[in-house]
Amino acid sequence: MKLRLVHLSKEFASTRGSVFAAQDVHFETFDNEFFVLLGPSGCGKSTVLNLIAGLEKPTGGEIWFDESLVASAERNIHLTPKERNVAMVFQSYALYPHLSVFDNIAFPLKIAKESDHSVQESVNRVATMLSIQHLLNAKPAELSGGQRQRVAIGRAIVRRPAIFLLDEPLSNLDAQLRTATRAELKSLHRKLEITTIYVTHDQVEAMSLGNRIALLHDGRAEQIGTAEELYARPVSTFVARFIGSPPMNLLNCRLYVLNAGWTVMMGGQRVEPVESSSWASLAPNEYILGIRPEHIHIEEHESARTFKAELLAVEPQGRELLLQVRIEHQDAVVLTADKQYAKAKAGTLLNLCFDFCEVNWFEATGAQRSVL
Amino acid sequence: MKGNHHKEIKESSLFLLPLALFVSAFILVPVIGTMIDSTFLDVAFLQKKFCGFDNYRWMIRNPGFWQSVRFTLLFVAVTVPLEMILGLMFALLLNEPTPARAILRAAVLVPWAIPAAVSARTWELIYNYNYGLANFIWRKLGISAEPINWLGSEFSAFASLVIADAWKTTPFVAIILLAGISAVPEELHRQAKVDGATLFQRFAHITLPLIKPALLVALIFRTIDALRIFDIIYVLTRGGPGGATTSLSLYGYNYFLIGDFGYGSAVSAILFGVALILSVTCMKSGRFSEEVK
Amino acid sequence: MREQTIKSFLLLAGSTFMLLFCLTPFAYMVLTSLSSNPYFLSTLDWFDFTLENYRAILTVPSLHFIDYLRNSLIVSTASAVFTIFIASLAAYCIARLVMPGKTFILFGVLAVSMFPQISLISYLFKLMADLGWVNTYAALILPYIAWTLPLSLWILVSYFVQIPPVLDKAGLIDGCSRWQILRKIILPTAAPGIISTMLLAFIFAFNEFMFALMLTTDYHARTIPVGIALFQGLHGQTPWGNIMAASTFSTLPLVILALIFQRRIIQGLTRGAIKG
Repeated sequence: MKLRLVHLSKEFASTRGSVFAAQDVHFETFDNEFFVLLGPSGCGKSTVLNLIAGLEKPTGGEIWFDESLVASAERNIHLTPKERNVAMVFQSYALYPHLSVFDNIAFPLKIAKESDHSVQESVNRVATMLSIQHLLNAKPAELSGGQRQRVAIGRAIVRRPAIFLLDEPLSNLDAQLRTATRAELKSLHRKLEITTIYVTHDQVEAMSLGNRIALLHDGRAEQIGTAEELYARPVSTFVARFIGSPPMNLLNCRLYVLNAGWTVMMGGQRVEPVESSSWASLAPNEYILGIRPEHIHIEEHESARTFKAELLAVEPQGRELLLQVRIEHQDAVVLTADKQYAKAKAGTLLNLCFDFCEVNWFEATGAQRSVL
Repeated sequence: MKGNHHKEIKESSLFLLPLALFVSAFILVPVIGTMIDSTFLDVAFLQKKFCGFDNYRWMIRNPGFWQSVRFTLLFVAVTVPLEMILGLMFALLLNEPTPARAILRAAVLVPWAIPAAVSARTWELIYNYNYGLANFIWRKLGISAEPINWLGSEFSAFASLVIADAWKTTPFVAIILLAGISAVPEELHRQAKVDGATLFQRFAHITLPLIKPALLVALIFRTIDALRIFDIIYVLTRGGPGGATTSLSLYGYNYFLIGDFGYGSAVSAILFGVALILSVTCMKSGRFSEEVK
Repeated sequence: MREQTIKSFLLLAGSTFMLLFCLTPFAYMVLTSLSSNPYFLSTLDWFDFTLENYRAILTVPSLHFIDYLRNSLIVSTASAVFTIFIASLAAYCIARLVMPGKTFILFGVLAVSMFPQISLISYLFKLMADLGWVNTYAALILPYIAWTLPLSLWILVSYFVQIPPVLDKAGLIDGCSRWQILRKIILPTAAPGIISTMLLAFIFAFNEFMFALMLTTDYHARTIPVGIALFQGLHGQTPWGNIMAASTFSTLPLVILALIFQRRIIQGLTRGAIKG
């Protein structure tokens, strides 16, 4: 099923006037896509999920499930979650405390008045798939966090929902279990072939799980794309900062033309990069230069292509070294595999060469959007 | 958007409907009916006739009415403070982690659980002139060899009712105050102890100010409850001796009993008015509603 | 150290007083019911243990004790069950649904619970007389439901707001209607609270006196409090032994219930009165 959000908005009346929890969110998923809504807390990602589920009503825009309109503020249409046939896993799992695991999973089927036999069969199938057959008689209070999470997933997938909604389902698990469950969720999605909307604040989860990611910021979809796109070509400094660990270096600089070639000036230093054809749209101006730590190389000798930087600290990361440096009063990080820097002293001067093909340029003012 | 909202409210109203029906049919409508009846000459076997405020006019000229007003107010003025003090004492005891706490908690519920009219029968026996427990203790204490006719004189009947009422309702006060006291953080007491405050200073400067809301709630509930006192008086003295212990409720009831519904309704309406004004005033005072939220 | 001594002394003295205060009348009631001679405090032939009083109230039909007890149990149970049902509907609406003026409803109901009974009784009597229901169970059950609703509503609202709202959401997702959410999720989850509220409503109905006094005329519908209050001997003299046996027999279950559920009752009472 394809999910389509059309200029979706949700406005809350608060004591200080109205607040947009979601504003003009607009995208369409593919069939059976694993689509991630990513963003910091309070960005409106859970609101969007609740709107899709039918737990909240939009104040603007429409929601389509394939060719059927399930919610429209303008046309006053609002289908209930039941009518939409959605399944959802909540952050707190929301297991019914008075029911056994079996009854929790069977609950949606019993509400739908399915026969006892088919309920039994479906629950057993799901329990086997999630390997929780041995827990069917337990009450939620007797389960561990990971087991509860499985039960919640089981309850969601026991009937064939039109869409599968997951609201930070891994955030209550410990780190080890989270990685394992992530892999399971991915294979489960492959098996079930159901369009899945997954909400998380964890960019690692988002990048490893999602076919595509919508990064939300203050109720708006800042950027929608694959993990690679968000990583390599962020549309704004907000995306650049949010995606990637360590995050992208963002450095204020001035770009101008000298001797018919580009010159980048940072503080008192200037370098003359090899001109890139894609820079045609750039005009001489103040910019924010964004570059990933792995795209900065350390050169033996100073040249017209290098910035001089002071080494502040070295953090071994196992295979690589993370160098904290300062270029003309601006802090940056550099990733290098060269072990000779492991024992380098703070204060050492380094010659840094930027890979300008990988550089992103952002406006220095306003929303700091990408200018390429 | 608007239409949807209305639909939702309509749906929610269905959940409130049974409550609204019952409260209206068996509380609100009867109260209004009583108000209306109070403006009628409505005596059994006579033609019902509108009479304006005649019932009220007769009431304020009737010494029996003023006697019951005096008794009721006096009863409230004596029982409520007594029950508040005893209740506070019990609550403090119930909050202490002594070995006897479980027993005390159980004991305090006993008077509360027994119907007032039933326990009043026991008090009747206790106050019995010849062989009641009260006179037994009175004699054993050696205050005087002469037994007292507890329910026979105006003063002792009043005192007897106060004691019986305090026994029945102090547990309720204690339970309400216990909730307030147990919510006082233990750290405050430890801190005060470190600061050198004595037991009584800690009570006066920490516990008492912090349980003010609970005290207020108990005070309101008890005052309104004492105003409508009926059960134990009906059983113990039936308003005697000589009408000295006739509460407003009993006074109104007596008129219903002889079939004068108009006058009885007027008396009831007065009592209702006082209770309503009291409860609305208290609810409007921010303290109470905040506490509830 | 001195303070500790004072405190211990106060605790001991206070606890002793409290125990005596609370239990003496009850103990006196039980003792008298077990004595062949209610005057045992004044005479020399001291205390003579007997179960004769209990035998009398349980087997002598003309005393009607069994009738009163049956009436009380039926009326109180029916009232408590219906009250809880109606109050949980309303409490669910107030705790969870879209409803303007919720606070007003809650406080309105609280104000209603403070009305003096005397201001309802004449109208109720006429109503029941017109319907021909005086001295029937219905004449008591219907007003009792209304009378115990405010307290039950307050307590139940306080229990319902403690249930995580995400369970409602899960229910909606799983295809429940609002009614199904209340019945299949909220009520079972709040079961302990429901039971203690029902117990409170039962005790309130069981203890009610004025309605029962006015709306019943004899053992066909008369309840325990009125029955015992009006209990007269067959031969003029007050049969204290029988009265105390009846009192003990009918209140002992209440006392035992109160002791078993003491924590829940205390919780319920304070919720109803304070926490909201």
